[in-house]
Amino acid sequence: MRLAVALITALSLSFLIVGGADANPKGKKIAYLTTSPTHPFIATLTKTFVARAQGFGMEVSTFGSQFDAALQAQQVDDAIARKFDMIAIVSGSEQAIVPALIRAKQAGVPVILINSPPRDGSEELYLSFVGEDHVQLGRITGEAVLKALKDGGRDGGKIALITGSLQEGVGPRRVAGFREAMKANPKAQIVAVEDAKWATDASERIAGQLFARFAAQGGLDAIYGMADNQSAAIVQAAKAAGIPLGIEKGKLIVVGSNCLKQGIAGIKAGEQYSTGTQIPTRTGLKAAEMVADHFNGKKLPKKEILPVETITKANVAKWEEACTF
Amino acid sequence: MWRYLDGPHARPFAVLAACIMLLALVDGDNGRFLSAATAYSTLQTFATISLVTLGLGLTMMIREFDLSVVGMYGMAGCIAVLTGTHYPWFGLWFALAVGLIAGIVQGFIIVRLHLASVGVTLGGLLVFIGIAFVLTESRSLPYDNLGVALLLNERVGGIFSIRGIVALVFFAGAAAIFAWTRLGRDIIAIGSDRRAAMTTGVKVDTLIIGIFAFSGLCAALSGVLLSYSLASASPAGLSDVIAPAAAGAILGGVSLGGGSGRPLGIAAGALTLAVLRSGLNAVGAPPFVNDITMGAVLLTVAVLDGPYLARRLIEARRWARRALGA
Repeated sequence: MRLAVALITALSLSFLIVGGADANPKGKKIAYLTTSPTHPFIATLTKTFVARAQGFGMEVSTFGSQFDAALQAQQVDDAIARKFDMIAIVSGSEQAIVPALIRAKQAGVPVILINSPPRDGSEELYLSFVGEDHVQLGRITGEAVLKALKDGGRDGGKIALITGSLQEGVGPRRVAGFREAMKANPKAQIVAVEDAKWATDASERIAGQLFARFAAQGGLDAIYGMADNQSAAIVQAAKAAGIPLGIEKGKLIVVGSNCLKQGIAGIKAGEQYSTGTQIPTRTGLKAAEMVADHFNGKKLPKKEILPVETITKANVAKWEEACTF
Repeated sequence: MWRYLDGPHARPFAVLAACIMLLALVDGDNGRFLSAATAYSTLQTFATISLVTLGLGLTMMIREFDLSVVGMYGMAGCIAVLTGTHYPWFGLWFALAVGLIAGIVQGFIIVRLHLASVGVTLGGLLVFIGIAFVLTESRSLPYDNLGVALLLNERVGGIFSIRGIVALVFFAGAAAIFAWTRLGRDIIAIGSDRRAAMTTGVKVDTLIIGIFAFSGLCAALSGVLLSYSLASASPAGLSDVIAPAAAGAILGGVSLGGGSGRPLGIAAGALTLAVLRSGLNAVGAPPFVNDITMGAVLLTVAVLDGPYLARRLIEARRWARRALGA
């Protein structure tokens, strides 16, 4: 009996070893599901992921959904049916993707989530998530605003947020982090949170409206444009309205995020105070490496949270190259 | 044979067949396109867009246009998710009732106040989206009854899902009504010449209100089924429906000028879009090819349906016959 057990164990182990040797990333088929392949950030993320994954010998098929939650869920089902070895998803909706993740798990197809944070409580449905902690990103941006106010000699002030989509995902998390940071100075008050859905034109229009709305109350002290395309639009709106930019009293502090080249240019020109690191090339490389690690038999962490850092004039040179894409 | 295929009612099916053949040709013997998986995917896409296409197509047949379907699609999903977590049927019926009543109200306003449907339904669209944002407090909502979500997408017979079957049943019902009652003829008559239809005793006002009610109902049902199947609801809607719905109706033989089209043609139009979307994905076409191909097919059909081009083609055929006869 013991001999039989030992034999079975030995055989199982040998199968595992052989399986492990075969299970390298070369030739693995990856379905890469993304939101908007034409958006600069997403396009760079996709390009980096695909290039790195191909470098490991994997075959990557890319599918775009233009933030259509139904289409993306359907693409997951299609990928399961076509027997891809793994599905990598930049999800458009953390809620609507859940049933598709359940079906992927039931079918035994591993899923890695990239950049867009997964729904809390859905950890069992995916292999790993790689991306930034957006609450933290919001928090460091709030801290940057408080520092700019203090350095400019202001004891608090009126702050407005022009955000990305607030329905779910990144937007609400960053707002939550920003609000947390504001608790450090009760005199710094968030007086408006406006959803511009990441759009540049909407951000410029909303900024203009906010300037008019708060003009009678002494104007705004700071505005957070949730992505740098938005903060650049705010800068343009401020210039059009004749509002001076900078940290000194009477000037408007503009902060951004996502580390886009517009933000870097704004910081260098002294028109934007800060941005935050969310770098698509870094995320894409890391995600592809994690996929390769998985096929090499390594255990992946449930969440690979990439470090975030505030970028100001003091350290802009360090990040300029990484943030220009 | 050619004359039959060239007829206005057969054209949607000819376009569908052409797309299927083309994709099968592109795929070759890879087996990616002509497979149960792609058939299921196609019918799932069909389920997402077809009911809205049917409702919108019917309003187009009477020379109107229901823009509010987009708002109703999102709002009905939000209502169902908010009210139907523990009692999914209650959420469904409640949302359907809202869709039906909203359609009746819009139809009534159009008929009684003699207003253009585009203006009225644009107002409806904005009101429904606004209500959805208020109901959800501008957030996407999770639907915690995941059993319902999985059930709605579960495969039936290899290629169908409950969502898909519901859509097919609706189309079968609409086709039967068109074939066996005078309702279809009356709808076409209203779209062709409203005054003449009235003179011949067609209850024009009642039918217009009824069609807007049906359109509201279809949009609501589609929105609820999608929200339940994705286990979430969004005030902005979970899928882009207006462009595919309008395109599907046009591909299905419905004219923006009214007076033409059949439910089965609309089904073929919606199915054409679904085949293209799922088929191009299956053969591994890059994402942008999807939009370009759909646009090209739509443009081709629109050009072929143009009266000037049709006249020129008839003239060319006559000229060719004369030349061959001589």
